[in-house]
Amino acid sequence: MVPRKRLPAVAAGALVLGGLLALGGAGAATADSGQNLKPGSTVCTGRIQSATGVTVRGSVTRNTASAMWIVRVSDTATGPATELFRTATGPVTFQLASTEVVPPVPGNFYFQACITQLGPLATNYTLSINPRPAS
Amino acid sequence: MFTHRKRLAAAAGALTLGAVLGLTGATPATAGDGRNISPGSTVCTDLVRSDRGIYIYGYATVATTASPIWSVRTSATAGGPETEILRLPTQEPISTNLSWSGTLFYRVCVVQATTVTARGVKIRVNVPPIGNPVYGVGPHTATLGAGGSFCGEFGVAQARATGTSTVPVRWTAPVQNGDGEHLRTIDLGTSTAVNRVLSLGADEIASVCVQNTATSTATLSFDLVAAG
Repeated sequence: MVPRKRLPAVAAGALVLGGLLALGGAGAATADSGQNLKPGSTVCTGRIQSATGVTVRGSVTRNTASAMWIVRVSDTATGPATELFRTATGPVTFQLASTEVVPPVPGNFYFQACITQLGPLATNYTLSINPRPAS
Repeated sequence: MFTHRKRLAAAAGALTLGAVLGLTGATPATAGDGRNISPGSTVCTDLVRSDRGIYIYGYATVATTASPIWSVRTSATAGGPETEILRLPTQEPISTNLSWSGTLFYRVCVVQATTVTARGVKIRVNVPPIGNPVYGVGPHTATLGAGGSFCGEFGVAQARATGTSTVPVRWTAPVQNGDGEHLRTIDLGTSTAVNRVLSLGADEIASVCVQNTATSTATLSFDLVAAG
């Protein structure tokens, strides 16, 4: 359930996400951005499909926020997702640079990226997830 | 940056390490420590087997905003074909873990993709207890530029140190006690290969270090296993 205080950010993200999905179709990149993400809040992208893993990147406001970045994976578009990867960025390192995450076994999976705000102050944020280019 | 808080954490980790080693004689984590890791170098831990993924922490400090890449590779068997499952550009992986249900071998590499030398590199890899971990499988490996050094492995009692390099490098075996205090350093010479049994006393733990004293890049590996 989405707490009421997160609804504006989620709604804004949904607009961006919806626009991207409309352009790219299911399985294309998804991106999210917003303002005033409160401490403890979590926002997630939609799921994308990829057989080559994903590239995730994002940022929060410099020197005001720490964040936890999480990638989840599932076998289907709506099925249960399990956590595949997580990493934190601190108040100084405010960006998640372009990070490639690939499941250890081959397959066509669905991926979702999330950010949880861990800092003491509200922050602006960006978050994107894209299919990883085949190597 | 290696903050005071992290130094305390590192000290606490060393104490924990010593305590665990004293109780079990087993390697409690996979580790690698490097200095002066120049652009183009790559340093990799040995393998750890896990049923539930791994935790990673450490640092690769460079005086630039660019970051070395933390690369995690997996394989179904020790020494089998690998898949790179993570490329994370960062100077300090914090609270970083890869979760996967299924038995796999993991190794963690720091790829020095920046244009300046990394003064210090510390790699630590742990497995959650439910992951049925097996640490210390196979050798540490590195492609090490001139002047760089890299340490790893754990050995107790009678342990055989082996290593090979494409150019002559200096091999040593630092010895510490269970509290992480340095006791002595065994000189293993400068060569392209080393193969020597280390006789360690009670409460002594050895590792292997290699320093590239040549003027060209060294491609190398080293291991420390129980001498049978």
